[in-house]
Amino acid sequence: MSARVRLFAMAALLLGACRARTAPPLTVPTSARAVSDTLRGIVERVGNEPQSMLVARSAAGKTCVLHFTSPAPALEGLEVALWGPGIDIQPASSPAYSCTYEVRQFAVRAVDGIAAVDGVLRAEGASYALELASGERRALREVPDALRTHVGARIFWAGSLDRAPAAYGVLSAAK
Amino acid sequence: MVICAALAAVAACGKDSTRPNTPTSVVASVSSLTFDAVGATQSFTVTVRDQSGNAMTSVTPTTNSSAPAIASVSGGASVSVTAVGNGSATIRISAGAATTDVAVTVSQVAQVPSKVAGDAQSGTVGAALATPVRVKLQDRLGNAVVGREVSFAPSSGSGAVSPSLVLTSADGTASTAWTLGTQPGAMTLTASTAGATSAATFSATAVAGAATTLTAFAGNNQTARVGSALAIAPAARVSDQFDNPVANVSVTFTTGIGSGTIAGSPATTNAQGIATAGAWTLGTTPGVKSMAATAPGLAFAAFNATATVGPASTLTVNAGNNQTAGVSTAVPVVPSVKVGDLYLNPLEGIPVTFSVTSGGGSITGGTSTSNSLGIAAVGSWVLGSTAGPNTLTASAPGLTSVTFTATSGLAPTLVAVTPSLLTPGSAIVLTGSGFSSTASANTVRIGGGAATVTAASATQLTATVPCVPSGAASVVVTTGGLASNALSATVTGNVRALAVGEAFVATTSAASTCNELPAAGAGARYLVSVYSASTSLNSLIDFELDGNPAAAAASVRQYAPLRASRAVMGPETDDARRDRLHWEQLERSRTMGEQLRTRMRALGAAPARGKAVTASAAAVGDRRVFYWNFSACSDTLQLITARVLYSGSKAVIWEDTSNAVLAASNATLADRYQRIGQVFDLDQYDVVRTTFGDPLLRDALTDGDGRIDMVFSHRVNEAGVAAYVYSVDQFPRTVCATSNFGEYFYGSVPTQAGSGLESTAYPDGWYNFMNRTVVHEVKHIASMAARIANNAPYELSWLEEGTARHAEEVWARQALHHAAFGGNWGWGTAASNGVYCDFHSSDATCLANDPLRRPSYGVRRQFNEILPKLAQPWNWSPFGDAAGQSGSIFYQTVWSLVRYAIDNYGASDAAFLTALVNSANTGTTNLATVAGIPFDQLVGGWTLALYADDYPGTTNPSNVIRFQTWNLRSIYNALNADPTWSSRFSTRYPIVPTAITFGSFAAQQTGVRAGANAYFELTGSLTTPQTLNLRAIGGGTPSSLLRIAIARLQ
Repeated sequence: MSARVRLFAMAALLLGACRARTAPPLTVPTSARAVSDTLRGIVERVGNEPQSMLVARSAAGKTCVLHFTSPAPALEGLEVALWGPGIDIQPASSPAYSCTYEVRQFAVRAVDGIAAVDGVLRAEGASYALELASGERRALREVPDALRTHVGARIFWAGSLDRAPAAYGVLSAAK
Repeated sequence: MVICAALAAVAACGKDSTRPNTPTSVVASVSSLTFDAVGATQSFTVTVRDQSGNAMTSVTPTTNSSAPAIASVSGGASVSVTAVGNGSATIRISAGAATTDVAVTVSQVAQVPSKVAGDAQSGTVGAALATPVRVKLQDRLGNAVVGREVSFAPSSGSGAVSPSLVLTSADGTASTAWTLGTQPGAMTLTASTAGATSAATFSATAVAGAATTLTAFAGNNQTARVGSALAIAPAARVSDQFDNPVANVSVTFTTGIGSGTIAGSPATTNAQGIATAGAWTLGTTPGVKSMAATAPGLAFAAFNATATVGPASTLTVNAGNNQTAGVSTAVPVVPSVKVGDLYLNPLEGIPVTFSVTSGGGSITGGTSTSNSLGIAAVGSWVLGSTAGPNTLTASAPGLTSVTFTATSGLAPTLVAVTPSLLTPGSAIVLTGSGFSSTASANTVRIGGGAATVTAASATQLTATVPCVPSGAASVVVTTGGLASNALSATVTGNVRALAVGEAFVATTSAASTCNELPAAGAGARYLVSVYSASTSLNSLIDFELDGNPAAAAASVRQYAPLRASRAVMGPETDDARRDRLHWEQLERSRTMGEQLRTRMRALGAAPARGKAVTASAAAVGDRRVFYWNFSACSDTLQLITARVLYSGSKAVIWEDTSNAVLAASNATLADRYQRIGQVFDLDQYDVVRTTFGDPLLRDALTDGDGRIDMVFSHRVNEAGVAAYVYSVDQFPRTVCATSNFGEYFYGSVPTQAGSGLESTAYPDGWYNFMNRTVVHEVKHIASMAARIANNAPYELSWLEEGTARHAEEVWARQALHHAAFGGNWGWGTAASNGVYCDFHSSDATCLANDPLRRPSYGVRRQFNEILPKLAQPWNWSPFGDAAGQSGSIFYQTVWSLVRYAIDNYGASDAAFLTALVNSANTGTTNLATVAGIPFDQLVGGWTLALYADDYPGTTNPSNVIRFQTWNLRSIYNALNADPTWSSRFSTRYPIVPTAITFGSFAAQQTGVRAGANAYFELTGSLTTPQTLNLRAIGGGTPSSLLRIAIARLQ
């Protein structure tokens, strides 16, 4: 099986899975094709359980429906990079949704135009650090009081880590 | 002859010698019998005599008992009677015509009561024994004595019984509950009955009850020196509810903070219920100390002790050591020592002597006495004339002396400040000498505010001008602890000179960071709103708003209370829950619609007219089957059978035939369905069409019936929403199998017959809520139709829902209130049929105003359910329910924002809202584009107006701080005064800004959500310029997403 065929099969399975959980019974058109497994865009909430749907709208106007295999993190309004298998169901020039993504990983890139990072908040004695996806720990200064009760949670932090954040928030609770 | 013979025969019958012997009398040997026990038998003899008195031994008499259940009888000449039961009977003995009776009486005599149960038990004082005490009464033959009274009597101190007099039951027993006395020990109870020669005696043992009380027993309220042990070890006593001591209870003794330590904890109570701890060593500070004795399940017992200071033992530096000052110059901080006991507790009245020990300097006030804080200070210390170290010694009798060190040196010199006109935030250059080449080793203060030094050399510093008030400002450089000479410069700040009623709204971060209010004299009042320009729903921002630098103003720096967001919300109201679920459904609808449009394109299906479920306008009585498509396109299993109740010019009302309450059997409901249809045909369709666009815009491409089909079904209730529309109905069934294909909305239904205007469970209350829900839902249909027709993306839900509230409002204003756009409408009265009536559904005058449309919520939800937002403005974003929040407060929040936008930037409701619906933009872009101003500016002005609208005494207010259509003060002041609503609207106005007095202050706020804000109200005497310095908490650079808006109220 060629890589292209494998990807298409995976995409078809994905649509089936999405349909069972949330989405309407879409038929994959013959023009459907696998898309890049990376997408960057601003997340908007477009649905709730049982049809939990988020979309990511890229700067180029491409909009993809997002599916998460676990409870979706609080990403609305954030600019994120997403990784996962996706399929095109409409040409990218379509003003409506043009693809479907199953999000395997994500990273926060910006909040309202301010560069941002995300990671797990760790306490190190009286200090705090942000544990990035790579495992690297970056020291945080001036951690807002509201975050200090969320050690172990995945958070986002806009602005320099060396001073108080321009904006912050909790993406998902501590496990 | 015959007659004579007969007469002779008759005459012969009277002669004894010729008659036979007959029983003439029966004689018993006893006349009566008495029995004392059942089963006992007694006998007697009977003699039968003839008419001559002769015994007739040949005649056997017969016997009979009048009451066999009492006495049985047998025999003839010798009769035997047996007692069967208590009572009286007659034994009749008969022989021929002769009879005699013997009276029988049976009355059992009880023997001594025998104990059956309950003897020798053990129980808790004051409590009933587990087993009731029971005795049995028997006669001498052992037969049960029934119905006989037994008296139970506890001995003195042995408690009580209930009941005390008991009749024996069928088995001869009687029982009672015995509640033991309140003191532990042996207890007795007697059971007696009449006739018995003695009583039965029960015994029981009472033990103390569970521990209920813990009290201080010994060692309370003692006094000792700090750090020493009290004379009496604390002891606590544990007792039960009757104050009986309880042994073997573990008692823990714990000292309060700073109250010292205690040994021997925990301790166990002895037989007297007393637990004694070890020694309590007091803490090292004087005052009242506390300790608590605790035991599981008991209220603690508090102990107090007083610690007194010890003798003077220490002399320590209080202030003024290790200073730097110019030669022959007094040190800036006067040296002082602190006299204390062993634990440094201050001691007053101790003499201290200061003397210069090196460096050649001089002092004044060399002898001092410690004050109440234990502090003694020298008058002044002028360092010697030669650069170098100086020392000063402080001593007191019996104490080790202390030495202060100071270094005299040369202070930096400040020559010039360039430019001389300073602007906060700009860079300046300071030239001179004696600076440190390390930037952070120099401190530059301008007008009392600290400037950030960004570059340094020994002769030049570059610094950023801090946020300080305009005017002359002293510039001083401090290097190595030595302050330079001061140069004067002129600061020109970002002065916001506002007349009363005017406002300033910053739309950039740069314009928000440092602002200044000019001096305005007494009585000035400003409203400051700091808001987030973020549009990321879950973002939070912290900030600090600082006033003038403390050194520049003689006032004390104020610290306003920290306000923080709270993620935990109270229970969701029914209305709020319906809104939330409705919103979720709208989201499903919108996304489903987007997908279906995509799918239709993918399938090559033109959005042409399809095969409709309703091919033409339905007539009253028609029945149809609809798909229940709440969940998804693929759900084909659930169907609704409905019939038409109303078919008008624009509305068709369908009633689910499986609803619990049907119009056919409920006249009120039938009437309300008709009224919903009539109101829609009369007003609501036109309100939506003219304000947003025609909801039937695509009717010719869908079912072509020219009507809005309203399906009222219990399934909507079961889904938890009030009503909904679904985008799938805009598409043919070739695209979505469960599309009903037409302009549909689905409404909930009343579930009970009866009446209740504030409950949607009843037909009349349902109508009160539902009539404005209809126009809300049909607005969604109009919006969807326009977006599909224009091939534009659907509106984001927060704006879609917020503007649907406008559909309700416009209808209520036009049809109920008769209140025009921009009319500054207030609370109104019952007679005016305004907002008052929306909040008073059952008011007779309101109902009479418009019997067709009233009662109706009107705009109640807009003003009522926004309350959480007004109470905590920073905590509620217009962009939806943030993580951890619920209640859909954003419905009303967005309504308010859009109301403000229309009032100030729209020609009319219709012009503004139609433009929103027919746009290809969505969300903030759409709103800002239609308003024609940046979204930040819109939010800033809106936040001001939410509080400043119709503010009392604000003359000639700018439109920026007004809602022109509504008078918010009138409405909320009235709700606060209204007996029905005042408990919910408990303040005169629901927004309560942080109150600040002009001058130096620092107010912190955490957790400002996207598009939300925090309020500050500044009052007092504004005699000098007032700076407003936006910073990060702790003083750093503030978030670039923060904006500030200012309004002058007075």
